[in-house]
Amino acid sequence: MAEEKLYRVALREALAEEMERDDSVYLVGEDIGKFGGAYRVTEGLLDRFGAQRVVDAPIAEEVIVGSAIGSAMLGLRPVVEMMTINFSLVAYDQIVNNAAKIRYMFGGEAKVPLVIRMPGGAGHQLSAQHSHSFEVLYGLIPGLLVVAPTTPEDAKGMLKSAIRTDNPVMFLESMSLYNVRGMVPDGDYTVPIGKAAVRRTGSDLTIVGVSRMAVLANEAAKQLEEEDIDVEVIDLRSIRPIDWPPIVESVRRTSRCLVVEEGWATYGVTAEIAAGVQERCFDYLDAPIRRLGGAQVPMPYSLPLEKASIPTSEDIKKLAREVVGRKKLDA
Amino acid sequence: MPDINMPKLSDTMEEGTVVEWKKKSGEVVKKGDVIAEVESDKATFDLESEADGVLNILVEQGVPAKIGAPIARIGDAGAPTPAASGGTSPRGGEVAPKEVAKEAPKEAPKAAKAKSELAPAPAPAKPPPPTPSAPNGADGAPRMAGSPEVKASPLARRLAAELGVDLAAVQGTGPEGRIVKEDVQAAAGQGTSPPPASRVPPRMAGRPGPDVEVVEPTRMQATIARRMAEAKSTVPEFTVTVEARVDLAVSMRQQLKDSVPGADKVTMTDFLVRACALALRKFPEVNSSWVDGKFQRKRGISIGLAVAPSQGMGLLVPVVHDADLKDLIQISIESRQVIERARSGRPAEGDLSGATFSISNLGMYGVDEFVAIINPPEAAILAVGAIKEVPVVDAGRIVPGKVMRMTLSVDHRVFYGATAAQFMAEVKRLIENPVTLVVPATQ
Repeated sequence: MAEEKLYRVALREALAEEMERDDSVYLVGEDIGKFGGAYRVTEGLLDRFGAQRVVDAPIAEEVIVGSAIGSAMLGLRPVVEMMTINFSLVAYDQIVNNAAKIRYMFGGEAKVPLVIRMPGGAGHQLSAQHSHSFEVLYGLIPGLLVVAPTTPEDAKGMLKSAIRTDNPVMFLESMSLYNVRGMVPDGDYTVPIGKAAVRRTGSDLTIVGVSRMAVLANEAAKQLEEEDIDVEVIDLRSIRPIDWPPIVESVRRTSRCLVVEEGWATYGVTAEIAAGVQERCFDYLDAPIRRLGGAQVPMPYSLPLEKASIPTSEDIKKLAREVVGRKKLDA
Repeated sequence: MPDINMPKLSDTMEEGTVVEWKKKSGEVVKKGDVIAEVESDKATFDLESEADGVLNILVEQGVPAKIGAPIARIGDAGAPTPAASGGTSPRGGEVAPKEVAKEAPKEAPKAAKAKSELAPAPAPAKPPPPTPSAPNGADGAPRMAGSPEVKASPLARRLAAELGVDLAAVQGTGPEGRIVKEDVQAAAGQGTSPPPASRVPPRMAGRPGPDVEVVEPTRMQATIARRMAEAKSTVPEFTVTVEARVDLAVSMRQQLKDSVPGADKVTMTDFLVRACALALRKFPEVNSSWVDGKFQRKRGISIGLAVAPSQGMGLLVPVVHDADLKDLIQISIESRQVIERARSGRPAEGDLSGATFSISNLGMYGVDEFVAIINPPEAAILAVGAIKEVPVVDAGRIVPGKVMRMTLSVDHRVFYGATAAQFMAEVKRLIENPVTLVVPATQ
């Protein structure tokens, strides 16, 4: 029997079950032990698995990731928690130059089975430095796998896949999704990395949503139903690699495409998706592909300004109407 | 500044259409250069320049022009040329009707003759026959693609080419007045344009007659029609179908994709190419032809892959040569390259010829099974259906399994039922034991 659970609880279960299953799995990060994690994902795990396997690290992200990479090369399976994705910039060199490249540069003699979990996104008045959506910073690096699950079921299943994969996985969580509830299957299951999910089928427009924006796209699609606009929603889930077949199949059917991300759309994940769709579906497009992203500013602290800077389901609906165009006039 | 006029190519021809300008306005052309592909009521032919100079296009592609009307002008290099007229008027009024009547018949045979003499030569000057499409857009480009004043979505342009709709006559209702899919469909439905050419099956084309509406196929479609008709009328064929368990092949393919560098794009068709190549080596009589009352046993094993062009209607059969001497990864890489080249309309030499056996896989379309037509002089073709999950009986128990149905069409003059059955049993054995397909190729 599947049970409804919080996203953060689903993540915790994945960590605990993988640690039970495999002694080489350990957790390291800031405040993940005694404090239970800044977002309470690792709560209770220190008591259960001990300080050897749930390591409270100093505030030194480069050291956390660097040591995790070393231990991964020697056979352990570290799961790093960056308190937020914003702090991962301090460790960006370790991630890009070491985690992503070691297996390649050593001809496969060393592997880096490393997972870095990190929440991103805005909406909590954390201001300019702590509100980033950096999918694109990791999505552009060959050698990394990058995922952004949006449901508790995917969060658990994909985290298990990430831990079992022999390559470094950037596991992008969203601060705004930790308290989302959803059905989680019982027992041991995995959700593959590299697969998008069609959340809803439709015939007028394909919306590809990145991370939390896939959830908003779904809400927008439900509301657009009342306006007789039939929207298909694809949750990208895997930012690298991109799962093209369902996207291409969908756009060829709907002839229209809108791509949404929370981060800046310029040079963003949406740019990559739009370019790929254009190449693969050019002769099927009945309207220009449109993109929606966050405002091109450092995130404001002011609550009204912050709200105005993040795409909303209203923004998605507005742009969807524009892409579908004539439908609105008919209605 | 000699004019190039719309030539008269047949007694019934009243007007012609430039399907494609091969040169641009302002480009320097030489006498004898193919400058355009022109479509008449009977045929499509290459139009050559009659002089050296700078081309100035007067009639946009897709716009019909009366016989004798100037459609382009060859100017002196360096002399300013007026911009191409974007209008639909072919400026026929400027030419005295007398001149037209006098000149047109003279020019027509010249253009046609020159073309037949130079038939092999113009190849480099003009792109190789690209992917076939509706006859009114021979290279798959919609009629009005070059016309800047028509604002239409890519889908609308493609549909217009397929349905024979002239976009210049369509009112766009999309955002910013853009012509969208529904506008083209509406225009096609109202009969404001000639009946859709591409809807007529290509087999009609070979038998034109006075009371039959004649529709010109693309050159590729004409060739397909001729060859398929020839195969069906001269090859006594029978078929043999087997069903193979492909659970192992499917999981091996995934394993290869996940863990072997270079194998990330390996397809089930690649597995089949390898399996057929090995089976053909074991059954040389399958790798044979019936020519002039004798068997021709082919030493090389080269496998043609029936694929659809990336645009439009038609069929391409790119060839993986010496497939039995290549391992699975080589086959995977090479078949992808050769298919890409064929689809791009720029095949390398040998890419589209020399097959001794062919495979047509419609599995990706969910087809259960089908019968393919042999491509002579090959003696057989393998038609492959979709991989389906079905309950199978395995050691007395019903378990979920993946199966795939394959049908071999056989030229009965070349080999016989028992051989066909044994050959298919071997293909089935290989595909069900895919480890046989990943061992290195041997000489």
